[in-house]
Amino acid sequence: MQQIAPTLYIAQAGEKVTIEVQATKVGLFVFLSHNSALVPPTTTSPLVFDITIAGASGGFDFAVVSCHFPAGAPADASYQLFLTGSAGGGRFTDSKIQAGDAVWDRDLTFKVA
Amino acid sequence: MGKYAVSWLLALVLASSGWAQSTIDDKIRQEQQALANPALPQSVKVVAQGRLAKLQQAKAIQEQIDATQQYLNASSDLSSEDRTKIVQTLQQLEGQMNSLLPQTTTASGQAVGSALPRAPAAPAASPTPVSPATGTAGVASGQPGGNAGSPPSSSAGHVADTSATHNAQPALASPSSPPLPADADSKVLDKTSLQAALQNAAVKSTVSADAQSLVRAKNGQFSQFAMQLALVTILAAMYPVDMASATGDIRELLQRKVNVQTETERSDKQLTAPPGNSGSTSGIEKPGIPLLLGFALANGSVQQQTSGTGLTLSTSPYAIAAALGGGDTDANYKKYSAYERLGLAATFNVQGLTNPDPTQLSRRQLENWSAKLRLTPDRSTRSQGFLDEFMGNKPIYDGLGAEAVALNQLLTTLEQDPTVVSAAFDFATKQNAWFTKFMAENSGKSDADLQTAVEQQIFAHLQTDLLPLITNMPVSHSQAFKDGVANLVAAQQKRAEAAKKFEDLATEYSQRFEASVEYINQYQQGLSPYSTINFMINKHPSTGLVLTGNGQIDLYQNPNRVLNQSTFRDAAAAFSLEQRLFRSPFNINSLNEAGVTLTAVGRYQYMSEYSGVPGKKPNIGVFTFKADIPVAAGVSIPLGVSYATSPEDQVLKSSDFVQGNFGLSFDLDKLYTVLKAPQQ
Repeated sequence: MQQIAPTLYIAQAGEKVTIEVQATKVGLFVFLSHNSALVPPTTTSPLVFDITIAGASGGFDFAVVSCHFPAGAPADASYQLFLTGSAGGGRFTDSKIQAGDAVWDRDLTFKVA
Repeated sequence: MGKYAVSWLLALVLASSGWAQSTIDDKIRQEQQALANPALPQSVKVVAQGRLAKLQQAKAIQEQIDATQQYLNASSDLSSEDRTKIVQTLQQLEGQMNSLLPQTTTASGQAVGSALPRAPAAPAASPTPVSPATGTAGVASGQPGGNAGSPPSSSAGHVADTSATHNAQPALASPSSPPLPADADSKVLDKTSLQAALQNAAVKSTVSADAQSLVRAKNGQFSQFAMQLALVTILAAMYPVDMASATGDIRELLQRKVNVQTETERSDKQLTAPPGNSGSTSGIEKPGIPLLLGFALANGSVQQQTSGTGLTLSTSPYAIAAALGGGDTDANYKKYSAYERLGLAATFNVQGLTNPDPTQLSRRQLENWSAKLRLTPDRSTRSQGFLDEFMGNKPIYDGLGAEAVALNQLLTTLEQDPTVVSAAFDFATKQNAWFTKFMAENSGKSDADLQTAVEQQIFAHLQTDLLPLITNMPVSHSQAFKDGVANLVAAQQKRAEAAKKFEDLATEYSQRFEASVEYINQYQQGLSPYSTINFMINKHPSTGLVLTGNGQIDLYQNPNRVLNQSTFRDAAAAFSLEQRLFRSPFNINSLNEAGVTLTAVGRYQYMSEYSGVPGKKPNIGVFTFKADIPVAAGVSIPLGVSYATSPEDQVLKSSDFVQGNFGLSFDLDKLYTVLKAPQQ
């Protein structure tokens, strides 16, 4: 997998993508949707979601990460996203979503190579 | 005429006049250009002159419609009768204007504005009421028309729907546009609708939210938001009315409402010093360990709190371990969960110091130090127990994740238009370069100014980088797409409702039985040092009622036999009943839920050293009745009246007495939350 920019990737068809979430100053209230359904986490310590890239070569696949912060969470409480593809390329640091941000969601876009 | 019927008619007028305004000018220019062409035959010029005159009359009527609309929008207190009259006037004007506009005919024989998209047909279903949020009218879902929150000139935003005009060329395509496909199952992203989309509330709020997040992050990258922004822009062009309801502002507004209401409702934080400390108005101590880790970690794992003449520094082994072990991450929270049970605090007398520096405090100022051990499980939202309850609560879990699914659904639907997705992807990948440069060049600006500037830049780059890529692209117009937009709106509401339920669950979890034991080493002036061992319980038997109980014994470290002291100093038991009565009438912000609370505290103490001493009473009873009245955001006045059988120290007398206590309590968390609350 190749990272073009945070949230934008080029992946192989059928590649397994691991999305890891590191929570700071907050519990694990993160959701991931792929194929129009919520994906249950593979593990919760650390919080990990696994998805498999669908779609034909030249097409696209999408996942949406949605975060929630309890009312008592400090403004700098955060979720840091890391992505790893099974076809290599390394572990990519993606978005850091903070409680004080106005946007708590990220669309992950995978262009299928 | 009923309110909804008026609204519906208004919606029709707004929608039909909206498209006209931006296109009449185009038509006038077209006729003027034709007349300026010397090659145009005179006979045709006569025709063009006639059309131009009618268009200019139509434009004058359009200006009257605009003025009437503005008056209507600004006059929210109009009676139903007056509103009906105005709407009827608008209808008449619209009819006059339409009669002056050139007409053409579709394949089905329906007359439409020549080269102009037709106003929406009347919805068959029940009329849509005026939006309470915007004061402007909506139209039936999926119909082009009025755009909530957009100026009239941009409310014409809609997409040429080729399914409705099979043989007609979609209107307002740019002169350089390639021929557009006449596909009954697709829409075309024409220039006008895309321009209007940039005025759509959904796009505006998304840009604003993106800019805010980017400015907060300082080194953020715009690309992470660009794909979603492109999607929202495309959807706003296709379904302007539906998308205007799907604004990101609504989501955040509701989210913040939850935060404000929940934070200001709280009365479970011990904001005053523990009983016996300088400046304390508390009659009893609450058992929770103050794990305000955010501040604690940011300040070297130590928390600072000033109350009256006392300054308290507190920490916990967890705070120290987390600081040394990579931060207050969820992994560390689980790894060092045992350390969270213990809290340490020291209180210093800072009387006479206006801004006491904690690093300059001396041993002589130490009033007490304490260690508190929590006996019951962690009741915070970070605990494994709460996480298990949350994961098992399907309505809350699915509700909070609903928007992610709806967005994903829309993106997946868009996959059937790879050229559009490719264009959006290309746009997104190219956004970091300018943004990084812009942030570097404007690093000196305040956050507020920078956010405004970033918003302007984002809009400019949507214009220059995205719109040229997608203008005149056909987009599949499937039912799934239309349903997806409706689902997104519903999912945002579902998410907001789930957020409130989440907070209710967190509150209920935090109010379960709590018990702790505390050791306090007291160094108060004029008294022999002594140690306190305190056992505390906390329970919420019913809504708004908090029962707290303490039992303690005090032991002298070096008893002074001359003063009749032995190692055993005293034993005491106390209870507190706190009841929230109602929301404070002094709350200005409607989201501020801080309430007036009444507290009854009873305390019995047996002082061993007073036993057998003339003029002293070994049995001391105290009853305190306290009212806590929030008077401003984060500020409350505790007023107390105490009756005691005798003073605790009994230096001057041992007779019973009544005394009043009052203070001023500040809660910076509440203050910050209310100040950041959305405007009502």
